[in-house]
Amino acid sequence: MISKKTAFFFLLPALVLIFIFLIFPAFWTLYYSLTDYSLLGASTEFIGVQNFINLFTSARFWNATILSFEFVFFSAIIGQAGVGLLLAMLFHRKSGWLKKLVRNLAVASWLIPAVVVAYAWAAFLDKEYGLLNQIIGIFGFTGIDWLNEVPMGSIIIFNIWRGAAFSMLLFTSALKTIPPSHFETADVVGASLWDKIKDIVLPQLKTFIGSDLALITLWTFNLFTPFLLTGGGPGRQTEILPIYTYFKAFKYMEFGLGAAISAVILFINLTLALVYLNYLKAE
Amino acid sequence: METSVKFEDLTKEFEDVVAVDHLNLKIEKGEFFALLGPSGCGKTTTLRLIAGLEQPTEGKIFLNNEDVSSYPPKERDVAMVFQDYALYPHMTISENIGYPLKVRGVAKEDRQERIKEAAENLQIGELLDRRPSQLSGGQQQRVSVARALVHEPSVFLFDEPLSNLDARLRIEARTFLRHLQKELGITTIYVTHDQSEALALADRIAIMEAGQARQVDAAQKVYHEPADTFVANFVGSPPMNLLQCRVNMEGETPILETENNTISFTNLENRLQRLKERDELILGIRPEDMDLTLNVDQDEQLTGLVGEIYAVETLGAQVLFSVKIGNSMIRVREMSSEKVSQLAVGDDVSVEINEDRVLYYDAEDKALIN
Ligand SMILES: Nc1ncnc2c1ncn2[C@@H]1O[C@H](COP(=O)(O)OP(=O)(O)OP(=O)(O)O)[C@@H](O)[C@H]1O
Ligand SMILES: [Mg+2]
Repeated sequence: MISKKTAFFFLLPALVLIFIFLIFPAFWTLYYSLTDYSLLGASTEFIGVQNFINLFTSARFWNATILSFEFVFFSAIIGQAGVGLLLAMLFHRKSGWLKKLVRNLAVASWLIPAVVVAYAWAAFLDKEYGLLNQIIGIFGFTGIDWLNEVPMGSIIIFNIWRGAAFSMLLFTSALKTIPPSHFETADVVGASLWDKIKDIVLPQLKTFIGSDLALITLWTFNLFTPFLLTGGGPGRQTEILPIYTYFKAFKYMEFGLGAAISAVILFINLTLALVYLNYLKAE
Repeated sequence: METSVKFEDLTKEFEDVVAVDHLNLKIEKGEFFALLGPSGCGKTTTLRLIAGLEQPTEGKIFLNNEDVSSYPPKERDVAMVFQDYALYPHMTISENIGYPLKVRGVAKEDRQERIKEAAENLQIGELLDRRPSQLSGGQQQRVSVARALVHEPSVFLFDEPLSNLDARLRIEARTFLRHLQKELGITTIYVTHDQSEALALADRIAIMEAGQARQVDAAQKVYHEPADTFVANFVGSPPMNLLQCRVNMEGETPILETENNTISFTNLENRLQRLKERDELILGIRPEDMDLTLNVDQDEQLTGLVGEIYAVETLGAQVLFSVKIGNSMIRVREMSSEKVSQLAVGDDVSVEINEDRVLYYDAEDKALIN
């Protein structure tokens, strides 16, 4: 048996890293959110919750918050997890080149650096030269300016494409924990794909799905890459919270306010994480 | 009799194995049919082909005289019971049994009624509100059978459904299944590698090896007249003794020469008409068709099979002797008695054969000679 002391000793490096990179910045952010720290202004002063009052009375902040939730809900929960599960189901218990191809493509989409992917998507969706409009053109339709006319839809599709691979791989492994006879029993009685998802997969993979949703929700909430596609625009139509933070902190140099937005994001993330953790513990 | 299931040249190849090899079979309506064979002989694959869980590489499957080879599983009207029971852990027993009905869109009240009926048939009526994890293995097995019969399929498919039960429960469940099947009269195809299970349950048995049926016959016949040495060796516990021998003529009397003994049968002359052309034979003798006598006088010149007792095993009312004769081992089963209890390991014994029960197999193609 390893004593508790020794165990702690082994954990120490990890704890130090967690402290330096996670906890310390979090408190740093919390501290700044209570000041008027700015690169433009004069000296930094403690102003209490004034930043938060300013935020909560700002329509722009609420716009960003609502957009963030929409973005998370449609691109992560419905999109990535849904598409990932569907792909995993379609290829479950099958073999062949198509499965390998889709899997490799999915992994590639996940491994390519986000910046590269974002620019590739910007090029793909471009009004004049984009591949999408060219394809649409072949069928005799006129393309539209995707990033300007359906900006939210564009960044949602982009994030689904980007992240479905993770969920698919996770669910592919998770499905292997269900005995094949469970699916075959369902096949013999004539269950459809949807029946199998609803009656076998969802109830038996609850914990896997919970973990997956927890991870992708948090990732998506903090995702800044959509900025590379739309810059938060047009107008403020895609100005999700991380982009809003960026504008406040780095464009207008209002670090104090930026820190306050970060603190709000942190608070939402913690709440979501706790909800998920609680759910997983209950299982 | 009406035909329920029929295969025509049914073949299934996986990348590098032929799991089922040009199988031809006909199963009657209401019949309890067993597929018996060693591990890897293609039993499960055959069952899965019937269910539609695998597509045949070649050949056809008919259910109720309809070619269903290309039908998806749900259009075949079969029900399958798996070795691991495949009960859904998050559903109650009632929901598990009713699942096939739910998928088929049967109304809730109707469903409840049929669940109850099926559960009562299997004597698990009082377990309906529990979950599978709260049931014993034997109870789970019954639930999986109840789920299979709830929508009254035209064919039942069982893949080693009793192999996860302990020996006592297995025999109990076996009797129950046999009774239930006769009562319901549903055609049943039952896969097992346990020959005693197949003999006990089935009306007819197909003994499979390497994807082919070596013999398809009534249980009695498979036991008493195995069609070839493979079947002879597989059916029966312990299996039949197989003795390689050469036919010699001593004048008009045929003598069978084994490795280092000679056997002469009084009625061999009658049989010889059929055996004449062959000079090599394999004798098949069941362990219960032989008798042992102790050789008291060491110097006496003995004819017939003589050897030394190698091991003695008690099988309840019977005793199994393994006798070493030359390089081969013969198994003899005796009713335990005063005489038998005097035989011990190391004793020299003569083996007497009940001639009428001996089966003769061709040494070349291993087939039964009649
Ligand atoms: N999906 C598959 N892919 C490749 N080979 C397979 C597959 N399923 C079965 N086989 C092979 O086909 C042969 C027959 O298998 P099958 O499962 O039908 O045997 P079985 O008689 O049921 O054996 P057991 O008593 O061990 O269950 C085996 O050699 C097996 O390895
Ligand atoms: Mg098998």
